[in-house]
Amino acid sequence: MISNSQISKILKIVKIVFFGLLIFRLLGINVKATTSLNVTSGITPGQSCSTHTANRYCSLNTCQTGDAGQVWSFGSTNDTCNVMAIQFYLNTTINGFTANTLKLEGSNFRNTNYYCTSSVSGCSVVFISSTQLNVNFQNNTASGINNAQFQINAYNDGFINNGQSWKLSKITYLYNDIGQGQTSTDEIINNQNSNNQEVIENNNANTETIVNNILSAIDTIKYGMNTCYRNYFNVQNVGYNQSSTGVVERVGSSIKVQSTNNINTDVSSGKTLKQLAPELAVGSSYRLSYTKNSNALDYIYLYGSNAVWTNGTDRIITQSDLNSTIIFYTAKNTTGYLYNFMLQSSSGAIATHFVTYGEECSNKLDTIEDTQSQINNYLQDNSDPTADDNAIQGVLGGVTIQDPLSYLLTLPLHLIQKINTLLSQNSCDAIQFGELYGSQLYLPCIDIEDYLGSSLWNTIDVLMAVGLLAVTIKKFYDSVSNIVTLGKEKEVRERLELPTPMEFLQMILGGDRS
Amino acid sequence: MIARLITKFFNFILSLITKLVGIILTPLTALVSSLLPNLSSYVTIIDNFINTGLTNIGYFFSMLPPLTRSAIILEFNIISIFFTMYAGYIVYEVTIYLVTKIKSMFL
Repeated sequence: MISNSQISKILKIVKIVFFGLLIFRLLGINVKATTSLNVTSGITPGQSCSTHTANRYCSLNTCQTGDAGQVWSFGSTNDTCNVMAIQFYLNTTINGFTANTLKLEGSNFRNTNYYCTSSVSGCSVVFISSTQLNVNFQNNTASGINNAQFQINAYNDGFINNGQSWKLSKITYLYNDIGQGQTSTDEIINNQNSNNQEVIENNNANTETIVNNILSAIDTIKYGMNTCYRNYFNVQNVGYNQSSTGVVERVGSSIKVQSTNNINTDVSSGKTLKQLAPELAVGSSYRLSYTKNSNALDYIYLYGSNAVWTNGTDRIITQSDLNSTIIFYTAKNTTGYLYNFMLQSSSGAIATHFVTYGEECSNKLDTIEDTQSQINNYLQDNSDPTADDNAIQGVLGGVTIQDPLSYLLTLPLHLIQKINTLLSQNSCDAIQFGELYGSQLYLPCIDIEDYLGSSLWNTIDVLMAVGLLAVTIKKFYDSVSNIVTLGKEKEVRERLELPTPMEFLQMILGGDRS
Repeated sequence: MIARLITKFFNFILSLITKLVGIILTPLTALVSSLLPNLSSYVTIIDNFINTGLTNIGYFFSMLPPLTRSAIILEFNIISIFFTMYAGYIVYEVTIYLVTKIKSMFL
């Protein structure tokens, strides 16, 4: 006979299965409803998934200094219309063009934020993503840009929502030479019809171009990934200095500048440029950059060279500069803070994100080489074009669950793994809320240490960590005690409201264990 | 540094467990795949959903000080160890039960 408690447990299982199926169903409806290649702003939306390409041109005539940038989003967040790769090209051969920054943002980039900088021949990079990604162009020039061309090629993986799939080499037309002044051109799309298979055959002539573009782009990403950035300014050397006009002090990774009277805005650091940045070379050009609070001013002074160095500008260093005492500025009788203080070589790659003192290089080359090799193998395979696309999805690093049962069983472990990965990251990405009346809305990163001071923040850190450890050890001790004590096993299970394995089997198979 | 080491070690253990569970469940997976061919894609959607949700949580994690983060990671790892022990115990008992049943059928 089945007891009441067993009936109750069966009902619980039925409820769980029912809600699970309901969630699947809801998710399934969502998948079918969002299969378009989303282009949410900046260019015309509505490119359908079955045409496999987004190839757009956007003039940046109106993009002036200080603009937040324009954001384009590609792809969808489901697995039926993944964007495989994005290629960017920025034509920088424009008169008066000095430097630009392309900031690429996406949740599944191998490198979350990538900055592409060039002042000579343009810039082309590819990122591989299996989820939606955003492209954010930021104008970093001293003046507005005229007639700059910005081209985006989106490479689709060819998996569409009607169940058909085919080889990568036969689906996507990647390159389009767009003339200046045009708003949008895509000849291949114009030649396509609703029958995807016919489109594939029509595009066969472009296969070689497609493959070459992908491989060329991957070469570019290898180069890009190996770029090193160097910050020559050692904030640790700032220390503490009190002068007649105020105090300069390092607070964590920031510089605190305190004016102590109503007359002076300048406060001496008491250190020479050589002491603060020991490896600067005479005759080389360096760029000064930092962020600040509203009290601090946007320049420093080289006492000795009698020179003002404005934030965001380049300067060729002289021997006199190295021997000059550095003066910081804040409004009279206020406290200013300078954050992310950097001195970078103007002739090398310039990072617009903060790099700590020393050199920062990406070491993703092995991964990219491996990816390229796998893509090569895949593209060279001319067998059945309707074969499944799991291989290429694997190459792309996208999530393809090959063994759903074991994944579901270990789902709690996967969740913990993801949370652990997030916790072990030291970087912060601002949360984007999208665009409202032309303004980008986002939640900026907050470093609480800057507000509380390093001493208080470290104390709070230690107290919280000790508290957590104490709770953890207590839980661990209790759990181990329960396990090792005979007769407690059943109680533990009951407290967790889980059926025993035998009860579970009996529910499924029926009958007694014996 | 410690947090990264723990995470790498944990990733290794997770990979090992996933593979072992996958091997043990191979027959059942084949059965389920034939009955529910789209299960894999649904699970992928769940995973993507989790990833999307966790992306923004990372913003708040970044505010936590380093020692506290390490302590949280340690706690999660201990939880995962207990989960693994319990899952292993279930697999063990089920296997013993099935073996006993099969033996009784032939004896």
